[in-house]
Amino acid sequence: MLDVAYVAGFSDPGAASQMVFRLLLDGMASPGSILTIPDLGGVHPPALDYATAGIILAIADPETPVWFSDAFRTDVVSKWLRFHSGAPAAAEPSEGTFAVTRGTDADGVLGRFAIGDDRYPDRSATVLVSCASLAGGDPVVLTGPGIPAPRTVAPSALRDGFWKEAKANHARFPLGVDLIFVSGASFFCLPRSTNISAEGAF
Amino acid sequence: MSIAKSSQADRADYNFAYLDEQTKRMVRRALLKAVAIPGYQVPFGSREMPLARGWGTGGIQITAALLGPTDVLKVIDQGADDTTNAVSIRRFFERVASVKTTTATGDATIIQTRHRIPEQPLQTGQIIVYQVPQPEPLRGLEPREEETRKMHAWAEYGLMQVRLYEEITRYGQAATTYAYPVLVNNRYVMSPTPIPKFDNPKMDMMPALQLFGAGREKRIYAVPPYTSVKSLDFDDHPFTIQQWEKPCALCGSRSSYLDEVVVDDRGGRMFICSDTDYCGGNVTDVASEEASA
Amino acid sequence: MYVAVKGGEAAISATHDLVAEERRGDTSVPELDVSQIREQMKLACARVMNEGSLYDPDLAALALKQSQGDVVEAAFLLRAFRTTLTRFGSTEPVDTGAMHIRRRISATYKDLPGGQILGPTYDYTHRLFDFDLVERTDELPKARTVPAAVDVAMPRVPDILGADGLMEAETAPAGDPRPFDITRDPVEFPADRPVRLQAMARGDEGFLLGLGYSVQRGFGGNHPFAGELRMGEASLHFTPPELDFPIDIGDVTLTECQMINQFAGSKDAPPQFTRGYGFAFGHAERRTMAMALVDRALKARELGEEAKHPAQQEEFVLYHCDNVEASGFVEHLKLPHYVDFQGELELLRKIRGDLERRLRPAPSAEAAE
Repeated sequence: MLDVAYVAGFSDPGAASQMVFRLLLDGMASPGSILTIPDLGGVHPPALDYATAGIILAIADPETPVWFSDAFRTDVVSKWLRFHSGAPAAAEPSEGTFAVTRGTDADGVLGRFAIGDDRYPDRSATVLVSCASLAGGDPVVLTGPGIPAPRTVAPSALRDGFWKEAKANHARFPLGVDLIFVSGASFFCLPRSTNISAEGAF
Repeated sequence: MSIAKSSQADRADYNFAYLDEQTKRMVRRALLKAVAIPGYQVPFGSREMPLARGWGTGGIQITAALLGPTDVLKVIDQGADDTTNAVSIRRFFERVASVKTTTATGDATIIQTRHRIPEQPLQTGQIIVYQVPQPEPLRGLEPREEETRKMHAWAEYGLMQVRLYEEITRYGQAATTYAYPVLVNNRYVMSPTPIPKFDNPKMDMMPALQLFGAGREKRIYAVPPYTSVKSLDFDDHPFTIQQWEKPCALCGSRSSYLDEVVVDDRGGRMFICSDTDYCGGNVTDVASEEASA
Repeated sequence: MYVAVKGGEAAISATHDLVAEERRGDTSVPELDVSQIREQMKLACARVMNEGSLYDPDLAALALKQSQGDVVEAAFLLRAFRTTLTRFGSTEPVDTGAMHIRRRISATYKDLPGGQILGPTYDYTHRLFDFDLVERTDELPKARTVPAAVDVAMPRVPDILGADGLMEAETAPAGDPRPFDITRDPVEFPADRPVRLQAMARGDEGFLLGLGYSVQRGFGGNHPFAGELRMGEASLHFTPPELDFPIDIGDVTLTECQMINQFAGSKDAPPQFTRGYGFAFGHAERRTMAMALVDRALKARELGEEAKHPAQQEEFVLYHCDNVEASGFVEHLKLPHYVDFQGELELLRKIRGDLERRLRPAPSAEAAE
C-alpha cells in the first residue's frame, strides 16, 4: 500500500502552487468570498481538508513552521509535512507561521498564535480553521477592505465564543492573525483587517 | 572550457518566471500579509534580478510570483507601453515565462506600471503592480529606518502633516506633485509611488488589487480592492489634482494626464496623453465615428 | 511636427548589437580568452567575486570580459546568476588559523610565531612602468623563494593578545545560532555584527575605503593597528545531510585582516584592545583593511561610544555600501521621468503665475480677456 506521506503532493508543484496562491490572494483580497481549489492531482493525508493540504504545499517551506492542533497532529500528517514542504512542525502555537486547527478545537484558541509586534505586524500567524461546512452556521456580517458591500458568512461548526475571539483579533489591528476557513476543497479568508458584526453569534 | 558548456546548460535551466520556487513562496507569503495589513510595508528577502535595482526589480519579483499560464501581462512606464524600460520588462517575461502580453488595459490580468495608473478604470479581478523606488513616505522627513518604523507603529504622522502645511503656507498650495502621500484604510500613511497626484483618486476604492514592490529597499505593500485611500490634506486646503487648459492634441481627451512635448526650438509645444493605449483607443473611436457619419 | 516615440523594441535590439561590437573593439587585435583574464587579472576577478558574492574565478573572468572590465557591471552579472542557484547547505566555519599561508604580516610585532611572510605584494614596488610588459614575453618569472604555502603553525595575532586578556573576547552567542543571512532576509535595524560583516563583505571597495579612511582622519576616532593580515588557501568542509561527517569540497583563496584598536574602557569594562575584522575572497588587502576599520567603527553602539560619524552609523554604511544597488538606483535616473517632471513644471508655472498676478496692479475689467 502506498504511504500517503510520501506520494506526490501535487502532480506539477510549480504550476499548482501558482494556482493555489492566486486563489489565496483573491481570497485575502476579498474576505468572505468562497473559493474552490480544483483537482491538482496528488494525494494528501485524509485527515486534512483538501484545501488545507493544497495551501500548505503551496506556501509553506523550511522557513515556516506549521503548528497542528491535537486533532490533526498524527504521524502521517507530520511525515507528509516534512517530506513535501520541508516545513518543521511547530511545538507551540506561538511558533507557527501557519497553524491548522478545527473550528471546534479548544487548543486552537486564536489568542495563542503570534500576532506580530507594533513594528512588524506581519510577523504573525495565518490560521487555517477547518469547518464541517462553510455554510449553515451562525451568520456574521463582514465589512472592511476588499468588501464593496457587507458580506455574510456562516461557517459551521465553531466552538462557543469563536466570533468573540475573532472580533478581539480584529480589534488589535494592525496586529493579529489572519484566518482561512476551510472545508473540503473550498475556503474563504478573514484577514485581521475585516470587521465582524452579528446578532446572536457572540 | 568548462564554463562555456555549463552556462549554456544554465540558460535552459532558469525556472519559469526566472525566480526559483522557494523565492516565489517567500514573495507570495509577503504579498498575503501585505493584503491583510493594507498600506503596511512588509519586509521581504528581495533577490537580485537580471535587471538593475531601481529599474523595477520589486515589481518584477511580484509579477514573477503572480504569473501563471493564463495571465495576460501589460507593462507600462510613464503611461506608455513602448517606453524603453516597459519594453525591456515585457520582453523579460516573454522570454522567461512565455507569457501572453498586451497593450490593451482592458485585456490585461496583470498590469506592471511605473509612474502611472491607466486612465481606463481597472476592474475586479485585475491586479496592478507598481514599481516602487522609495516605499517609505516618511523617508524625506526622517532618513533612519529605525525611526520611521516606530512612527508607523504608533501612527505618528504629525511630521508629515506639518510638512504639507508648510508647503501650503509657503506656496499657497501643496508643492508635492507626485508621490503625494495617502492614508490607507484610515491607518497607514503610504507612498503611492511616484505617480502624479492626478492618479491618486483612482486608488480610492479601486475594484482591482494594488500591489507595490520595492526591490532595492526590500519592501512589499498592498491595497486590497475597495479600500479607502485618502490623499492627505486639510479642511481649508482640500487635495486637488492637476488640470490642463487644452485637450490632448491627438485624441482630444480633456480628462487624461497630459505630457508636454516640445516640438521646435522656438518654444512651441503640444500636449498629448501620457497613457498611449487610452489615447490610441480614443483616436480609433473618433476615426470610426467619422467614417460611419 | 511631433513624431511619436515608437520602435522601442528595435532600438533596444540595436543597442545589444552595438555593445557587442564595442566590447570586441578592434578585431585586428586578438580576442581575450576568459582564462587569460582569470589568470592575469586575478585581483580584478577577486573584486568581482567579493562584490558579486560568489566564489567562482571562471565566472568572474567571464563577467569582466562581458562587461568590458566594468567591475560593478561584472559584479552585477555574478549576483544575478548567484541568486538563481540552488542552495545545498552551508559549509562548516572556515578556520583561517589553519590556512595555507602565502602572505602574513603583522604591524604590531616585530617577530611572532610563524614569522612575517611578505609573499606577493605591490607594497615594496616602485610605481614605475615596467615597459617590458608592453611586449608579450613567454619567459616565466623567477620566484626566489618557494611559492608554495608555508607549512608552520601561524596563530592569529589577536589570539596571542587574547590569551593575556588584553583583547576583547569574541565568543559566539549562546547556542551558536545560525547567523542571519542577508541574501535571504531583509536587514532590520539595529543590525547585529554578522549582518554588518556580511553587508560589508559584498560592499563596494571604494565606498569602504573612503569610510575606512574617514575613520583614520578623525571621523570615527579610533586609532587602528594592523594586527595581522593574512592571505592564502583554506579548505572548505561541508557536511551533507545524508552523512554525519564533513567532507573537503575544495580550497578557496582568502584574505583576512584583523585590526587592533584602543578602547578606553567604561564603567563596566576595563580598558583593553578591541578588534575590527575584514575578510574577502581572493587576494584583497585594501578591501579587508578598509572593512576592518569600518567594522570597528560600527561597534560604537555595543561599546557605548557616541556614534556621530558616518562610519559609525550602521544604516548609513549598510544601506549605501552595496554597489549593485547603488549603481542601479543612481543610473535609473536615465529612465524617463517625464510624467513627474510634467507635474513639477505645471506647479512651477502655476506658482509663478500666481505670484505675477499678485505683484501686478489689478487690470481694469475692460482690459481683462
